[in-house]
Amino acid sequence: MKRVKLLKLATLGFAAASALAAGVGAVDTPPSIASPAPSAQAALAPQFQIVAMRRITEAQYRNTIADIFGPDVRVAGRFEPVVRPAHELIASGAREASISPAGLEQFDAMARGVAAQVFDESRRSQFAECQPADATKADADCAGKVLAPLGRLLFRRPLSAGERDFYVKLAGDSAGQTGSFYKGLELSLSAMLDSPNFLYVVETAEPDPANPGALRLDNYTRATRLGFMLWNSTPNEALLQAAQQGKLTDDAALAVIAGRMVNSPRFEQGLRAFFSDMLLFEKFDELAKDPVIYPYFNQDVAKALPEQTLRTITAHLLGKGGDYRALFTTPNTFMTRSLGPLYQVPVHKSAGWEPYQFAAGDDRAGLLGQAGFLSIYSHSGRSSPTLRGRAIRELLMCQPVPNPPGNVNFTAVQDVHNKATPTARSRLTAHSTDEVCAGCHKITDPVGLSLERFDGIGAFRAAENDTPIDSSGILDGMHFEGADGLGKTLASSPDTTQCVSSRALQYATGLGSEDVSPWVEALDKQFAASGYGIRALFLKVATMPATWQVKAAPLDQGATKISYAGQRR
Amino acid sequence: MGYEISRRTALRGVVNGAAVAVGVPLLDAFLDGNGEAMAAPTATGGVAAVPVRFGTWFWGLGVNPNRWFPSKVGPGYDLKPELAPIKDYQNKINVYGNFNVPLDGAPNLPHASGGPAIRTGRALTAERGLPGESFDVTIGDLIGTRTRFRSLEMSSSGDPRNSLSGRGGGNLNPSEVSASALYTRIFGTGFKDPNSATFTPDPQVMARRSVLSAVTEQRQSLERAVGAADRQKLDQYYTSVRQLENQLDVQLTKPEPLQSCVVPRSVADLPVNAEIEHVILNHQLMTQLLVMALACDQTRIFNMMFNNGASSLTRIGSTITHHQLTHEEVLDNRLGYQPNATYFLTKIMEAWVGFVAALDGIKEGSRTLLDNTLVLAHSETEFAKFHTIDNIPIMTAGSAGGRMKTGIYVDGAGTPVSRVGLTLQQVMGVSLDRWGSKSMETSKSIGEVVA
Amino acid sequence: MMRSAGNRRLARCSAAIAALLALGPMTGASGPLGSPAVGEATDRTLPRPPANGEMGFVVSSLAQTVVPGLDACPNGTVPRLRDAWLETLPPEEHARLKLKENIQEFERGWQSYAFGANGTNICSQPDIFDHPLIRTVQSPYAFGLNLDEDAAPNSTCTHENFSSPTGEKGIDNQVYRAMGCTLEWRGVDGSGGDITRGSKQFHSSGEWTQVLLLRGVDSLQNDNDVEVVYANTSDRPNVDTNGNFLSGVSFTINNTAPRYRNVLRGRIVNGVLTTRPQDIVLTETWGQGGARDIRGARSKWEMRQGRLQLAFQPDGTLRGLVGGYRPIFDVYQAMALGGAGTALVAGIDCAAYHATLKKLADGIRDPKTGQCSGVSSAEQMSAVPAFVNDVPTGQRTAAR
Repeated sequence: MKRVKLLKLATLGFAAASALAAGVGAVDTPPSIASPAPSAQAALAPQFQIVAMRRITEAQYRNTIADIFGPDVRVAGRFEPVVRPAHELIASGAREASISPAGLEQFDAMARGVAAQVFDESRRSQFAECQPADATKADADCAGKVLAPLGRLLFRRPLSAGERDFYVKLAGDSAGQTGSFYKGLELSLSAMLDSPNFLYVVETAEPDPANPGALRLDNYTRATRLGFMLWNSTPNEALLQAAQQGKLTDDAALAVIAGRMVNSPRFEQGLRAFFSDMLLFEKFDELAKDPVIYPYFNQDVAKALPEQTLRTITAHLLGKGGDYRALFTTPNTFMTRSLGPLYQVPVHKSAGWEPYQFAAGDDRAGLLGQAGFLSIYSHSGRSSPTLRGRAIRELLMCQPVPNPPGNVNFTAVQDVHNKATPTARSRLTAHSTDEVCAGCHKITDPVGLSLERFDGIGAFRAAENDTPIDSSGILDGMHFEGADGLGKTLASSPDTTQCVSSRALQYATGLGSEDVSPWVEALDKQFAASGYGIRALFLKVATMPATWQVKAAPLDQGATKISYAGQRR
Repeated sequence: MGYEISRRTALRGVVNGAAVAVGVPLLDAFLDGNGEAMAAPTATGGVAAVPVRFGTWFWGLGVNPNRWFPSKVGPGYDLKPELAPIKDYQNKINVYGNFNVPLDGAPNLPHASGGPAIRTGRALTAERGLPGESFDVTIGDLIGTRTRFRSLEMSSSGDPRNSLSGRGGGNLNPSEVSASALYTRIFGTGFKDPNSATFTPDPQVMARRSVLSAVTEQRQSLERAVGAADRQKLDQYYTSVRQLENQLDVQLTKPEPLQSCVVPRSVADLPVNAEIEHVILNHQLMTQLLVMALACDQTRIFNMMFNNGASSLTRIGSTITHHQLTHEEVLDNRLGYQPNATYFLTKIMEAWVGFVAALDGIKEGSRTLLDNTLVLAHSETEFAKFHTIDNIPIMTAGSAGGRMKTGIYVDGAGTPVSRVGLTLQQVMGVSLDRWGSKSMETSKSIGEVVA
Repeated sequence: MMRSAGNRRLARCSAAIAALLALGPMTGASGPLGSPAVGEATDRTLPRPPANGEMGFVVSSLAQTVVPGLDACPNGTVPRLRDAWLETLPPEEHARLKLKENIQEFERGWQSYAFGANGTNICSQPDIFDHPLIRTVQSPYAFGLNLDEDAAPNSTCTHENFSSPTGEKGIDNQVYRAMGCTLEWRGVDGSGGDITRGSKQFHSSGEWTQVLLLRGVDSLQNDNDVEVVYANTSDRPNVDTNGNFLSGVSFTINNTAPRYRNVLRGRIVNGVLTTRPQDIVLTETWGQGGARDIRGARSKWEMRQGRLQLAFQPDGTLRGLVGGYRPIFDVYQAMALGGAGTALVAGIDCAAYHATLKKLADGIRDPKTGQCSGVSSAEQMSAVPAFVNDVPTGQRTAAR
């Protein structure tokens, strides 16, 4: 306890001092706190700074609201999507994401909706332990007791005294206008939910004592990263306390906490979010098929496909603690009534999911034999070996494939009724006589053609246009047959494990592939040493120094560097 | 290529090799398609001073599907004989086909299940009433609270219980059936000329305004500590805040006079019954009154029922009803439809066009009243003879002040009809991301029509 | 009875006609209905049954059969109630009532023909009205099965037999004889009425889905003993954009009341599965109406002494007929569901329909009175492969 108090005093004092030193008004600084002498170093060189602002995603927003206010509080509205940078994760895009007027309007509507539910008559007692002296008037003391803890949870750090005063005053002013103490709280909470401090994860750094001159992420930023990286939600009370106690900059304590988190059932939620990002699951939202060509595709199928893949992944990696590489070969998956017809397999339960194992020798092996992958990387009316091959390269092997030039003539590929080219293989061969095209198609098509026995929705077929399908494939010089062969080839390729290692690190840090590349080979080796267990990989990512180091980026010229971060700690 | 080579080398090899072979630089054009900024529907009122309205227009007994639904999807859809009357307004009307009404085992109550499914996103289980709140009411809670009438319901074929609007259960907003009574209700005692009335700002809007001001006040403290890239993001964020503040400021300012508001002369009493000739006249009069009620901002929500579900329309001098004809008249296998029943459909479509034309005839700034309105028109069945409720004919007219694209035929491909309700609510600013229940629960709005 | 010229031609070219029927409008333009209406064996190679001898199917269409052509009804189709009432009046009245000034009298007149004393009506109480019989099928041809070939003595009532269009004698189908000239069955041009499209519509809505589960199948060509579970499922079928059933869908046989699960036995001869006569009971849900009126009360679909005659097709489907004696009330109920509305809105003379069915009844004979209360019937059936989950073994004996 004593230590905490000291820390608080020190940081507050530091803030006041630096604010004065920088010559800005101490607007947010409580005037009552005496300022100790600022260290000369602090006055000269900025030491606390915002190193990144990452917009929270829809899932993170929803999980956060559910965790803080309860799952019965509805979040209704459309989220401005975080744009995925080419060949990168949405987690990286979040570092670049701004908020448009339309996006903000939606956030504002959701904020008001959430705030109104939190302080409605049925719920307010859960969040307001004190009672106002008069429910029709402002009560600064009680408002502070209600708003400060909520602010800490929403901003993922304690409010500064200035912030606390600010939100209490806002609640008071609004209570005056509306004649309702709780209306005042509601408006103040809306303002918090509209704030960039909530909509963005504001990552701040401090000097790294182990690395003089360098920076490291501070405790609260670490708590937030751990929360979102491993559970895809806001840091919970335990994490915030650990941050307050400075445990998250202590390697041993950090390892214990991260270890607990990857072994928690909540890690499944985090892992689902990671693979949804890595495998571009946002594409399922736009998935549409021609119902005349594919009567077996419908909205129930579309809904079930990503769930089947995620169930397969989590059951294998978490349930069994399985080897990541076996995701490409496992015959085990899950079925539900809506998917049975597409796979032409019996489903016993009328509702819900049941485990299913494909028979030995079935070509459906691993994630790539699942209709989810196969249908996303197809067109609405035909399969696409090129899209499938490209997705395997880019998503699973982290090998970006160039886009086609703008002036390509696709007639030969699109004409599925031409008797001279009855199969995709023959059509692509015709297309690739053009040397400009051949260069890229060599990278993708020999991989994707091995999946041709699955049509544009991933249903099995032995022939196309009455012509038997040749499902032989080639990947980096290895020849194989069908989805089964492709799965085995991928499972034995070091590129796939390096790729997921790289993605995990990108996911945690929000950095791009190039930025994390110096650490990937070493990380992959440790992944290998663990038998390619996913818990081990994420634990490693959570505890490796690279995750918490900060590349010192020069700040804006003329910007005052310290006041914000300084005054709040 | 073997596997001994490192990943980084392999990656470079692939990319560089390809780049050389293709001879083009990497293009960003293949960025995932989610990069587009979302459309900017505005919540209450929008940036324009002119209010945006929402309404519905209902007709009973469907269509002959093969003679009504377009074949060509998207803009510039084709007009089959029974849809041809809308020709002059096609660029302001969307048509929606192949949206289904899955009932999850609830019975298909003839002429009763279809309408409520469209309006509530739920399957009806009792023969009367609504299984939930109809979404015109939901929209009304948002945009209809500050006008004299929260909404106006009308039935031109004479049955006050003919209504699909309400909070759910037994609650139905009853319909006005006589044009003269409608006149008295709108323009009789209690009518205040909107152009002379005083203006009171909406306390809700004021409260929202103060929240946004609060957010802006904290700008400086955050900006001081950020780097260049994050500063840009913050600038964009605060620009968005400013824009939203401007929108609210418009709503907090006394609006421009409503130039098109002209108080109409009173309406004589006319027979109110289900004879098509009378219904057409009654509908015309009611439409004219409604149009002025909207132009004078007396209401922003309306529901017009042209006829009822099991349509009791008849022709003067005949007692056989539209409903009887749909069942009794045998489907002519050569014509492919029932000629006598279809007579009524033609009249209905003409009435619908008259309704659209009346809205479009009122100028509001550079737009028309129709442009500033969104009207949902629909029936309760697809093909009445068999009471089919998948593929019920649906249209929208108007663009809700530019928030909707128009002139489009949307093929729902068998997806639930609740997508229409979800989309229209979102367009009108209702904050919701999913709507409907059981198989009709959906979170997929119809992107094609959202501007 | 005189054969019309059309009928003679039909008799000579029965095989060709049968082939034509397969494509004709009576069976629908495409899909499972566009198939031979009878369980004809196919000479193409049939696939081998699965090793465990179990094969599941979902019934993808079930509809009344009509031999098309207007010559089956030489006196025309059955008039609407309005005209049926006119026919009860002297001819000079017809002209007078059709005059414009008398339209109200005409309307009152024919509508009152639907009602009796104390608010009774011809559809809800058909047996208390005495309306003339409706026109019946005069052709000697019908689709169907020979139901009374092995029937016990005195178990049926006197009736005329049909021949099938392909020449099979002894066909029993009194439902068709009674109803085959109504507009609902025949259509204005004789090519089939609303029942075909209506049946398909109701069926594909999935509200009364039927499944078949075959056990002990050793060969699709010839097998002396096959068990056939014929039951209802509450699982909904998957259909394509045209309402055709998709194959490979999983269904679970209903295990909650009313649990209709019929276990039939049969054999396969030359690729045609025929089951031994046995009472069959299934649910019939028309999905039209709330639970508080007759329309919402889900009715039974009974085939007394019912049997299946289904041919295995090379594409894995089954096509053929289900036949048996249906209680008159069941047949009648499907039409009369709407009460007085059926008469007034659809113009159906329920009392006449009911009386005609009663007169032509040929089965379900009361040994005491000698009266028959059932009519022979046959419906065209097709079924596509499905995964059928039976009720758990221990609970099967509880089946009715």
